[in-house]
Amino acid sequence: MTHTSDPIGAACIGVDVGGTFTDVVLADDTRIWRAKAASTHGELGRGVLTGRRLVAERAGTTLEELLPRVVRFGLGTTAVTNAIASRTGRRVGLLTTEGFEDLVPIARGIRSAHDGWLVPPESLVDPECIAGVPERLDRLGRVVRELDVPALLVAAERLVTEYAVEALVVSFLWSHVNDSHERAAAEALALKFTDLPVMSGAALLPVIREYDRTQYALLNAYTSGALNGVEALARELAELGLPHPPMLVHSGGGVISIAEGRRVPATLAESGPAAGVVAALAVCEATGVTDAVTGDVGGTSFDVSLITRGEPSRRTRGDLMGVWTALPMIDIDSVGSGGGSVGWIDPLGILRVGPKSAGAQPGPACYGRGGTEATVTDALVVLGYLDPARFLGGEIELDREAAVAACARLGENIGLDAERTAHGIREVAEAGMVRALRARFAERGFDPRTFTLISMGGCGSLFSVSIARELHIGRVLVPELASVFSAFGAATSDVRRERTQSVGFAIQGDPRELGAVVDDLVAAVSADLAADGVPAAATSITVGAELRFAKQRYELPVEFSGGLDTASQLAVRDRFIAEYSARYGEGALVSGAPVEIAALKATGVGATTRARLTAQPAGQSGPAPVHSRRPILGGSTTRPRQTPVVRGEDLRPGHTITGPAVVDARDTTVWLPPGCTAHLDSYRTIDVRISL
Amino acid sequence: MTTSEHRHIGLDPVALGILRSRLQATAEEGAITIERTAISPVISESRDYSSTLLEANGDLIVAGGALTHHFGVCSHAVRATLEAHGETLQPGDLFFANDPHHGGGLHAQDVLIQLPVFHGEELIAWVVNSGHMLDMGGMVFGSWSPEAVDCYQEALRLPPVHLSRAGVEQSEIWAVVLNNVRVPDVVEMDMRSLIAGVSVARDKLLEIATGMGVESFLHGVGELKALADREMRRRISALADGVYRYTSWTEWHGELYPVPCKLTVADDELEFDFAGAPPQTDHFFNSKPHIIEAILVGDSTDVLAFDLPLTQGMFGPITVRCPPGTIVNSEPPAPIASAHIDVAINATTAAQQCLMLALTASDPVEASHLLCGPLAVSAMALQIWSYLTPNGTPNGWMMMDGSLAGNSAGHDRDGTDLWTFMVARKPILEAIDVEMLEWWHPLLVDFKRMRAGAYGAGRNRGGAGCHMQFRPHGTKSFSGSLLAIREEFPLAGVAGGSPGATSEFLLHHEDRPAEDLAGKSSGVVVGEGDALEFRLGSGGGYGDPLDREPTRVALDVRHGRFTAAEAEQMYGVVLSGREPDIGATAARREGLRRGRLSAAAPARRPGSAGTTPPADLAARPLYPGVEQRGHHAVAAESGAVLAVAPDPWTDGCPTITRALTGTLVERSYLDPETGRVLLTEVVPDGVGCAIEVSPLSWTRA
Repeated sequence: MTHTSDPIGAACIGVDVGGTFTDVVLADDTRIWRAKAASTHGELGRGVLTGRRLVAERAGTTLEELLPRVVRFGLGTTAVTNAIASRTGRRVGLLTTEGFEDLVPIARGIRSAHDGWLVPPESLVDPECIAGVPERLDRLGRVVRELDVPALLVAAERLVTEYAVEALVVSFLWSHVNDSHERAAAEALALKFTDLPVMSGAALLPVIREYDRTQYALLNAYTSGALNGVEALARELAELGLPHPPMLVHSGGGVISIAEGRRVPATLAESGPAAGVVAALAVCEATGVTDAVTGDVGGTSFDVSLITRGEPSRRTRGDLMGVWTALPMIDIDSVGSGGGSVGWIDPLGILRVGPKSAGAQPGPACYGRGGTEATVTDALVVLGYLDPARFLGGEIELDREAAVAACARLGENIGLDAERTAHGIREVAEAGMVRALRARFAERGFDPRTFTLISMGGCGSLFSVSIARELHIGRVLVPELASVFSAFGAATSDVRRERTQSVGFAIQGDPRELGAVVDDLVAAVSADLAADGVPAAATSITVGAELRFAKQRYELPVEFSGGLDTASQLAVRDRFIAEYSARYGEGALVSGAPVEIAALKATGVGATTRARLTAQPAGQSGPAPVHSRRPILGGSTTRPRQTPVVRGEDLRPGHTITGPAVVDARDTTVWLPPGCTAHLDSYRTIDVRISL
Repeated sequence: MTTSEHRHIGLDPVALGILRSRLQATAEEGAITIERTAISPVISESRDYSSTLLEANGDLIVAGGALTHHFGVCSHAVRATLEAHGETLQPGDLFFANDPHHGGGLHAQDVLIQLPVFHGEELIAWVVNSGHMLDMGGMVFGSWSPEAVDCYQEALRLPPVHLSRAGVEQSEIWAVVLNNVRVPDVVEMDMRSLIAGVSVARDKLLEIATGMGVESFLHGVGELKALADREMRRRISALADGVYRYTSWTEWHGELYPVPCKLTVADDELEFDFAGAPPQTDHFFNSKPHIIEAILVGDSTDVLAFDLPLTQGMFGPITVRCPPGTIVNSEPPAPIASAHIDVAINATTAAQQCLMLALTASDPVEASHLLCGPLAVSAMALQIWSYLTPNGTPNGWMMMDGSLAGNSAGHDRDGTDLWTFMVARKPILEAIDVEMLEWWHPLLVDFKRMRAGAYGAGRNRGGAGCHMQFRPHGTKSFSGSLLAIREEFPLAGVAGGSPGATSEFLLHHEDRPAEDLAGKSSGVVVGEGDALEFRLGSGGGYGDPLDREPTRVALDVRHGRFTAAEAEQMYGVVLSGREPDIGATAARREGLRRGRLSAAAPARRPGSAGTTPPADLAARPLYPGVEQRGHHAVAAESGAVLAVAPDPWTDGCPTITRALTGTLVERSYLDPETGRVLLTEVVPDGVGCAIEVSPLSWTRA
C-alpha cells in the first residue's frame, strides 16, 4: 500500500456489502486503497456511501472530487442472499402443467437429515398457491395438449384474489425445447396482471429438468423485491457526480446492469463469494498461476473453489441455502469449519468441531461477548497463533484467559488440558478442511499436486500451509488484499453474460440444427452485452458445450471454436474422452459408448476498464525483519516454541521469511510452519513454497 | 499435521477424530467417483450404489453412499471371498460376486466389486463397491421376475471370482458376464464405474495408512470399532429389559407369510429372533440371514445411533436369529431376486417397531424423540419396463417412481409425501425428473401427483404415496413386471392412527374397460393407446384421528389431500368454508367417540374396575397413551384400568373389528371410558394382537 499525494487517475471502485461490514476498494492505475464500514440493515445505500467517503479520505480526496473520475463502479451485495437465507421473499404463485402441480412440494425426494429425521426442503411456494393449467408438450416439443389460456387466467385470478400472491411464475414441462406455450401464458398474464412480476422458466434459463428450472424461476420471483433501493442508490451516486451507473456482481463472477439484476435477481445470490474468486483470478493472472484452489475460512464455514487453466470451476445447478435450483454460478462450496465453529465431544468420546457455530453473537469465548464454548478462534488464541492485541488489526481486543478457560472446560471431559484441547480443535478443524478439499478434487477428478492454494482471508492463512502439505500442494499464495477480496473482485470483474440451452444431441448431430442453436445463443448474448452498455468492439463471445456419455448425470464442459460440422463434432468428442479418462482413469472407459452434447452455452465478456493488481519494484532482498518472538504451540504438542513474528507493515517486496514464523498482517495472520519458505512478491502477495 | 507425531500406537481422542474424518472422506471419494461415472439412472440419479471400507477380516470400517443396507452385506461378501481365495490372495487382485446364495449382495443385480488393499505384502483392508445393474440376465429384462420359481431362472449368478489377478484383467469373466446380460454396454460402463471407485478409495486408504504407520492405522481402526461397540452397549443398557414383539406379513396374491419378530432386551444386548417364520417358498422373496442382518442393523441403528455412522462396532451387541430353511434363511434352489425386499423389509419393519415399543416403554434416552410408525419402504411398488429400440435391441428401465410411497407419521409430525424413510442417518435414494425419464425412454407421463384420500389418518397423518400414469410414446409397447410389496395388506398406524394405503395398478385401454392388475405381476403389456396408472401405498397415522387439530385438517382439505366429506367422516371435522366450525366439530367428535363405544365388542378381560390404583403412584410408560401404575395398566388420559400385570393392556379394551378384505381385519382397541382409539392394527382374521409389550418392570410388577 503506497500513500502518495499524486492525484488519482481514472478510478475503479469495488464495494462488497456483507452481513457485518461493507468493504470498499478504490484503485487507479498504480495504487489501491481500501476501507471498511459497518453495514446498515435493510438499506442498501448508506453503508456504501459511508465506506466510499472513508476510502476517498484515505486516498486524500473527497467523495465529491472522486466520483466524477470513477470509470467503473462494481457493487456486490448480500441483499438477495439475505432474502433467501431468512426466507423473507415475496409470496409467489406458480402456474404449471396440469397433473404435475405437486412436483415442487415433493422436491424430487430431496431430503436432509435433522436430528435423526429426514425432512424435505422448505418450499418457496405454498402448495395452495400452485395451480395446474391444461397444456402439454412432449420431449420433442410437439404439442400433445393445447394451452388453455382462459383456464390459465381463471387459475391465476384465483391465486391473486384468494391467496394474494405478489409474483407469478409460469413453468411448463419441456418449455426449454419449445417455449411457445410458456411464452403465450406469460404474455397473457403480464397483460392481465400489470402490477405483478411474471417470470417464466424457459425465458430465464432454458435447461432440462423441470424441478431445477422451475425452482430457478421461483427463486427469481421470490427475490424480486430484494434489490429495492438500488435505483435510489444509483440516482444518489449520479447526483454526486458518478458518470456511469453501478454494475452488480453476479454469482457467475461477472457484472451486469441494474436492469438485468432486476430481471434475474436470483443470479446475485452468491455475489460476494463469486467476486472473491474473481479477485483470486487476478492474483493468478499476476503471478502466472493457472491451476489454483481458493480457500476462505469465514466465521462459520470453509469456502473452497477450483480454478483450472485460468478459469474458475462453474456449476449449472446446486443448493443455495437449502434451495436446490438451476443457476449458472462459480462453483463455491461451503464446507468444513470456520473460526466460530464450536468444539465438542461426541457420544463416542471423540473430539469434534462444528457444524455448530458461535457466529458473531455471542462469538468465540475470547471475544468476551458472553460466549463460553471453545471455538476454533479460541484454540488459535490459546496456541499463540493469534496475538490477542492485534486481532483484525487491533479492532477487537481478545480475552486470552476466556479462551483458555473454554478449552480447559471442554478438555475436562476427555482428560486433556487446555493447550492439548486447543491443539486438538485445530487439528480436527484442519482435518475437516482437508476432507472437504479432497472431496472437491475427487468430484472434478483433479490431482491436487498440480495446484496452488490461494488463501483468502479470515483465519484461513493459519491453516493454509498445513492443509496444502496434507494435499501435496507445493505452493500457497496469501494476497495482501485477502480480507477485502470480494470488494476487489467487484472492481475487477468483467461484464459477463451467459446463456445456456439444453439440447441433448448425440454426436454426431445435424450440423445445421446445432448451428442454429449456437447462432441464437450468440445473438442473444451479444444483445445482452449491448444492453449492459458494452461497446461491440470490447465484446468477446465464446461458445462451449457440456458433454457426457449418454445418460450420465454429470457433464464436462468442453470449449470449441469454429463450426459444428461432422469433423469438429468428432474433435469435440475426442477432447471430452481425453479429459474424461484423465480424470477418472482409462479403466472407466468403454469403447464405443455414445457421447452426447447435453447443453450448449454462449458466454459473452465485455472487457471494460477494471481494477488490476499493481506491481511494485522489488526493493529488498534478504530476510524480513523479525519484530519480536512469541510462544506458539504448534506441530509437536509438548511445549510452546518461541517463534519469530514478522509484521506485515515491515514487509517489502523481495523480503524472505523461513518457517517457523508468523506474519501478523493488517487483518490476517499467516502461519509458516517449519519446512517452508516464503517471499513477498511485487504484488505484495506472500508466496509460500513448501517442501513436500 | 506432521506425520511423525502419531507414530506411537495408542491414539488419543483427537487422533481418532482425524482418522475417522479421513476414513469417511475416503469412502465418500469412492462414492463420488461412482456417481460421476456411472450411466444407468438407477445409480447416477437414484444413487443405488455404495463404497465400503472394511478391515482385512471383513469387519466394516465405514462406508460412503446413500444405501446403508449395502454396507453390512459387504462384510459377508469379503468373508466369502476370503474363504474361496484367501490362500492365493495377492496384490492386484480384484473380485466380483453377485450370488446372494454365495458371497453376493442384496440380490443378483447388486454386483459387488471387491479390492483387497495391500501395504507391501500385508493385507490391511478391503474396499467393496456395490451398484444396481440394469440387467444381469435370466428370464426377464431386469432379472427381477415374480414368476421365477428357482434361483437358476432368475439371473446369472457368480460366486466370488477374479476380475483381475495380480493386476491382469481376466477377460474371460468379463466375457461371461457381458455375454449373459441384455444391455452389455450399460452394464460394462456401470461396472467400470464401480472399479474406478475402488481404485480411488484404495489409493487414499494406503496414503492414510502409510502416513500414520500401518500399525497405528490398524490400531486406530480397532479402537474406533471398540468405541462404537461400547457406546452401543451404553445406549442399549438404557432400554427397559424385557420382550417386545411385532409381526408383519408378506403377501403373495392373498397367500400370507408372517414375519414375526421377537426382540429381547437383556442388559447391553439386543436379540432379534424370527422363530416362527414359515419355510422357504418358490416365490422370489426368500431371503438370507446376512441380508436380514445388514438391513436390520442398519435400520435399527438409524434410530438408536442416529447421530453416529454405521460401523462394525454396532453389529457386536446385536444378535439376529433366522431359523434355517425358512423364508429368512433359505438355501438354493430358493429364488431370491427380492431377497432384500418383501420378506426382508417386513423383517426390518417388525424389528424396528419392536425397538420403538422398547423405546416407548423405557425412560427417555437419546433416540426417544424418533418415535414413529412402521418403515414405509414396504409400501413401494417398483416396476421394470422394457421395449425394443428402433434398431431392434432391448432397452428398459426400473421405474423408481414406484418407490415413492408415503411415510408413516411420527409422534410429533405428519408422514412425508412421496419418499420412504422418515428416520435415517442420511437421505436415501433420489427421485427422477419427469423430463429426464421421458428423455431417456419413449414414454409420456400423463400425471404425477400426491395420491388423494384420507389414508393413514391420525393425530399426525401418514404421507401420500405417488399417483402416476404413463403410456408408450414413440414406441409400440412396453412389457414389464410389477413388484408391489403390499397388495392388500396395509401398514398399520401407531397409538390409534389408522392404516395407510396399499398399492393399486390399473391398465387403461382405449377401446375396452380398464383392468385391475395384481400388485405382483409379470408379462404386463402396455400397448398402443394403453396407459398404466398406479397408486402407491403409504404408512399409517399416529394417534387417534379425532385428536388432530381441526385447523390442520382444514389445511389438508385445502391442499387437496382429502375431501370435506372425508374430513368429517375420518376426523370428525366439520368445515365452514375454508376453516373448521369449532362447535360443530366438537359435537361431531363427541358423537363419533360415543358411537365407537356403543358399537364395540366388550373387552377380552374387562372388569378391572374397582381396582383403581392410587393416583399418587408414579406412572411409567407402557405404550403411547397407556401407563403402568404399580401393577395396573391404565389409559393415561382417562385413568381407566385396562389390565393387571402381567396381562397385556389390550385385554382391557373394548374392540371394534372391521373387515378390510375377505381375510384381513382392522381392529381398534378403545379406552373404555372415553372411546379414544389407543391402537388400531391390521391382522389376518382370527389372529390375536400383533404387538406385545412385556418389559420386566411390567411382567414382574
